[in-house]
Amino acid sequence: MGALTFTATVTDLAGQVGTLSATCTITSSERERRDALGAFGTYRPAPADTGLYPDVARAPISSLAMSAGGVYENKTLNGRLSTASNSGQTNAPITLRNMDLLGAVAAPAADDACFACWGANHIPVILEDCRITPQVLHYFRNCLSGHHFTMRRCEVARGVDGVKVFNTNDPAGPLGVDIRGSWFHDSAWFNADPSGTPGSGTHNDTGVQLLGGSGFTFVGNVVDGYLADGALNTHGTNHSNSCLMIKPDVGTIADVLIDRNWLDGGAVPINFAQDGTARVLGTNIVVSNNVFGHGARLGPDYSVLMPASATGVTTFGNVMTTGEAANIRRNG
Amino acid sequence: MSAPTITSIVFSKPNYAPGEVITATVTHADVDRQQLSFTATVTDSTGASGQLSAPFMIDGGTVAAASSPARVWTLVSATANQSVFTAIA
Repeated sequence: MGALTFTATVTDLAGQVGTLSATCTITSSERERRDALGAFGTYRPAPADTGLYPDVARAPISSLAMSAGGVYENKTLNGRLSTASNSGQTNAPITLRNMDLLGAVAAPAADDACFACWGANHIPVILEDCRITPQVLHYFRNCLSGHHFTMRRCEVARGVDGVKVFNTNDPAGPLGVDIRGSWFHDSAWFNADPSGTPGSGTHNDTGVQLLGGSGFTFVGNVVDGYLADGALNTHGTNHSNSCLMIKPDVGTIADVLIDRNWLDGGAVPINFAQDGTARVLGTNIVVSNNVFGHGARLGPDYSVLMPASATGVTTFGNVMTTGEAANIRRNG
Repeated sequence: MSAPTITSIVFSKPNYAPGEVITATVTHADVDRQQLSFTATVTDSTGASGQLSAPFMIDGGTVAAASSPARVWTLVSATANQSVFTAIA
């Protein structure tokens, strides 16, 4: 990466001169270019700022064994990836870079993902500039599920849900999930939901479905909450359910930051709900400085929807793309 | 007579990959510079007249671009106060 200094000179007829210089940066690789984009949340990631490097080839593989501190780069994985249980959450993280994670071909028998990151006490994972898109769509197949992972500048698409965040081994415990600078789009919709009831429709959360736990950060991402391949949902529209769905189906949820993202589509872009059990939306849940499009199925009055009982949710600085304050609704 | 000034240089983006087009927009000013128009009118004995106008510039100038490392900079558009240059990164 190098600096280029540009100098302009203006000369009048009397020979008097004015001059000024300015500097831009010339990068030598796609990775360098992305590294120079700035802090997450200060720029809106374009599609080309996420996912795989166009200037680095990837070798096909059918499986990947990962160990603490390992860096795995430039591969196309034709198969399901998972973290090993009890591999050690305090170990050095695994890094995946420029990896194309396609998931399995065979139909899953239960809720699954291209990358199952849910083993108990597993080594933390860092995904940087990866793409996670199922090669075979299925109503049980999400892109990534689990906990203790960091995602930077990734492209996530064509799962029923983009990312499902939970830890059934410690339902209200630490999640260790930090997602920044990534692009979520095109959810895979099925007429029959996982219960198999025809016409029920899958319940797609294009970005994240957060089901329980503490410690979830989502900054500087783009989520386009719409269905892949022009599919129409049970309402006859192309919207997914949400960009982010936050409901304590697994455990009480706390310590959440959703900041400086660009969110559009879904029935509601950010949808909070209670579970109706002792698991609740807890404390220190912050939704701040996000920019919302006008495309939500329920209309722009529904940028964030939450129950009145969600007193631990704080919102500020959220706006529409046209500049006015976003609507935050607390219903019932 | 005042010297001309360059008030800003704005790139189309902060970072470029090799082979991309760099666009630099230079905004400049010269308080002495004026775009004027000269108009001549001829009138005959019947009161009929003909007229023609021609523009001219007082203290017009030129804008040049250079860089380090060197690139070939092309002026792609110019007005009295703004010049746009491009080069290949």
